[in-house]
Amino acid sequence: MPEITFNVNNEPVTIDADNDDELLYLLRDRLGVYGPKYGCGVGVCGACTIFQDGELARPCIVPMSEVDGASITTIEGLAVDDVLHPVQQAWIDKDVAQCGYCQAGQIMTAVKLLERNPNPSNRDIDEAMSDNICRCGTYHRIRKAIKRAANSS
Amino acid sequence: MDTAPPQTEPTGTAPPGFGRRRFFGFVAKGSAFAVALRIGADGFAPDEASAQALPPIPEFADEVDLTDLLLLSGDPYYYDYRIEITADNRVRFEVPRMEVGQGIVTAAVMIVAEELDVRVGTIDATLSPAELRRQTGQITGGSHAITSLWDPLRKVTAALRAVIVNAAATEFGISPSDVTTRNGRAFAPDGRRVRYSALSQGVEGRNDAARLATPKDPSQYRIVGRSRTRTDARDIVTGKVKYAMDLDVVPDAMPTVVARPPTLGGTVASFDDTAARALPGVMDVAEVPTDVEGASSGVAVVARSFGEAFRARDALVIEWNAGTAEDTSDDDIIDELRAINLPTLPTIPILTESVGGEFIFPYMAHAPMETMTAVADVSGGTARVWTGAKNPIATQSKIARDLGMLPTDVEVNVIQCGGSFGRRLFFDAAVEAARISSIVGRAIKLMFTRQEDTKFGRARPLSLHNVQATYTPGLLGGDPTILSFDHRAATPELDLRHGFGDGITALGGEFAAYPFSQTIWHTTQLIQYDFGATSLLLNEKKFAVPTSSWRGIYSGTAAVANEVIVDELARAVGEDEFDFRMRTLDDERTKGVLQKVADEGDWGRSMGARRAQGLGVHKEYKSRAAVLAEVRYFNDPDRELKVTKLVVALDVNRVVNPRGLEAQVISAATDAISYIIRTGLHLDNGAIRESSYGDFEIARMNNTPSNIKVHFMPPNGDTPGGAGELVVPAAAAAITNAFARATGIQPRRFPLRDFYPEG
Repeated sequence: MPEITFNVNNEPVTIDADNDDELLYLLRDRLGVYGPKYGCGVGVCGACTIFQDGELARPCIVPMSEVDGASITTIEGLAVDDVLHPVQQAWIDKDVAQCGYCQAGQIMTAVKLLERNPNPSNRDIDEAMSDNICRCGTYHRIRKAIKRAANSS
Repeated sequence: MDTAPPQTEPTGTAPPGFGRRRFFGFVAKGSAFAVALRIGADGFAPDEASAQALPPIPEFADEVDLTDLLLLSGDPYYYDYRIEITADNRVRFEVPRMEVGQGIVTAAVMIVAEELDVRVGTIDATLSPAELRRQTGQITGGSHAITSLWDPLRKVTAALRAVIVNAAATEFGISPSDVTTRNGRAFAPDGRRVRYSALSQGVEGRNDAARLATPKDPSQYRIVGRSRTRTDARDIVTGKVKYAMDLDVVPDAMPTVVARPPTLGGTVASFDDTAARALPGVMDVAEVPTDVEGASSGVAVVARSFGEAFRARDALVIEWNAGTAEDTSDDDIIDELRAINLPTLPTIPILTESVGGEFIFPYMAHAPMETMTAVADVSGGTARVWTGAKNPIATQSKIARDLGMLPTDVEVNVIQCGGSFGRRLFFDAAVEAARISSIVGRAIKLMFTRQEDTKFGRARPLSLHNVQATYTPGLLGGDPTILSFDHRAATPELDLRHGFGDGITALGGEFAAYPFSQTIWHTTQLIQYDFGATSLLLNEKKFAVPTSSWRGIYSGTAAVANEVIVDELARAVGEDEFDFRMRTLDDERTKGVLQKVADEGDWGRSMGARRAQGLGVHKEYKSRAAVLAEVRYFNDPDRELKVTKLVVALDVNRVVNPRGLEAQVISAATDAISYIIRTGLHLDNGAIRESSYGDFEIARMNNTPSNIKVHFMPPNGDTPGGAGELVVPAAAAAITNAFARATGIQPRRFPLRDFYPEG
């Protein structure tokens, strides 16, 4: 049976590849990596956002065929040795989350924003984050947390 | 209430049933009513006078509101908690409510920590499963969680602390009054100390004696009233919180989706699963018949992963029977609602003026980020379910009915979920998951796709509101007088069969004869002003779109229409919208929050072109809210109305967790932006048009203001009121009123951007 191999949070995984399942369902249903959430299944909400080879990706629309050899980072892999990423810490400091379901995707997106723009304006933040839906309306605190993370690093 | 003349039957054009319904609707408030009567007596023919002589029935919600009914029905069951002190001196606490993101667990933990004198971080909280003995004491909804926990939880915990203090006194050989407690330890004056775990194992079960316990005086509070971060904040940002679909509680529970009909109410005629079964990972395919209440389902596919289940679902060849509303679209429903709606009262033809209009709000999906989900394992005559249930006991009983079991054979485990907004008052996925599990004979994880939850989920009913106010312009230099304020709402029937009803209708006296929705309407709807003769009536008709209360229930629409007419009334009589409200509001607490937002938001400040401020106030859940919104419009169909600033003031009697409450306030205001400005559902020939966040466009970050200020009024000694829904109507009204003031448009249809594109 054909197989693909890729890294998830620095752990190599191998999985049978006899179909074209999307990465989100491989992660969640085959590998038990539950941090990325199903929100829409069509790439419009951002709840499943991860890093694929260092770039933002929405695994609900990434077919398995594009994953062979890739390096995947999910929310579970963001903290290093239990030390939170500054964005995660800022999220706690500003008490951003409500139901929490979209927050992994929000945090992953914010990390990439700050990597390319260490001091984003409100407009920069709006632009970078408006593809991630939060149904609880935590946007106000997300803005604050991103600014706090920017100032802390 | 002032006395008023005897009731007279309305005459003229009232349709059959009017007199009976009237029982709920009419009120005469204060002196303005006397003015109406005097004008009637002095100036009008008998027919016209009798049309104005309204019976002096108080607005029900001013006397008894939904919060009262929820508390009355739940009270016998509230003094029942599990607060266990473990061997390592931690506290294991079960919250008999549902956490949907509103922060109830954090607030409840704060109350326990305060009364027990333990650190917040030593309490491990979980959600109680469905427990039949809790009855109406295990409901989350109607914004009464904090209110209903407040006394019972404080007193049960205070009683536990008293047990611990007495045990410590015995151990120390001193008087209990000399024992102090701190951080999970009891202390003697000489410095001896003992851990709680050596003195008590905690409490579990019904403890009505605790009603007599004396909780702390608020002057001693060190935790309650001070901002706390959510207890699960770290678990959320590290991806550790387990929602229902993340659970491995039943190791072989397999991903399952349902192929659903093309139109609402459609059923399976026949299907061919040959191609679907040949696909990788597919484990089972089965037809799911309509449930015990007749709700349609479809064909379920069980697979190794959800992606594989989706592909197999798409490979099914299904012949569908027609749905139940194939010829029905929004406009048909609007026509039928117009036909059933009662006319507003006739105006007095001389000396009076009126403002008013017909408001229409669309169907509105709840669209929580986590769709409806449930894990179910039905085998050996029992059912076990894991799901995000706000009404777990109703969930349990419906599953039992559906499967022909006893409720005691059904275990419903309540799992923290990704939002509700009213959607999880119902338990559609839990019931369907149990059915499917029983049919396929294996444990499953059922997930509604986003598209299913949008097209076949539930919605806030479309609603139509005729609102009319009459007034006499100020004569001889006096103030203008508002004579009447009528609201006639017509909506598709709101489904309330989610477990609130049984306890409440048993209390409801006369209400028991009416649909439960009338109880909800009349215990939530009121006119906040001294506007003379007022009436608020609801008319309902059943349509095919499944419904559920949406954050704010009826107030999210009805109260908004009222506040828009209040603004128009103020302008009609030539008064400033703030001054007019301060002159006519019937409640000092409401005036307090309104004054606060006017002061903090600099009401009346000079705004640039195409910018304006707007106000909205709301009274419900024993609380008050005022919102001052600032908006900017672009006079460009490609750039929608932008809310640039929100100033909010709340009076909830006492705030338990200011940071948590502020989150609820901003969340509710964001909801208002979504449904007032941006989005709604459409019914086209029996099918919902929208399918996902791509076309059901709730607010994204760039639709929300970065400038939001939230103010809380100081504690006043009363039980904390509710607040999860409170700000929805006030913010929605403030935004709508700001739009009207910026554009000169009289807003009547929503979402605004669909009907007033130039705005």
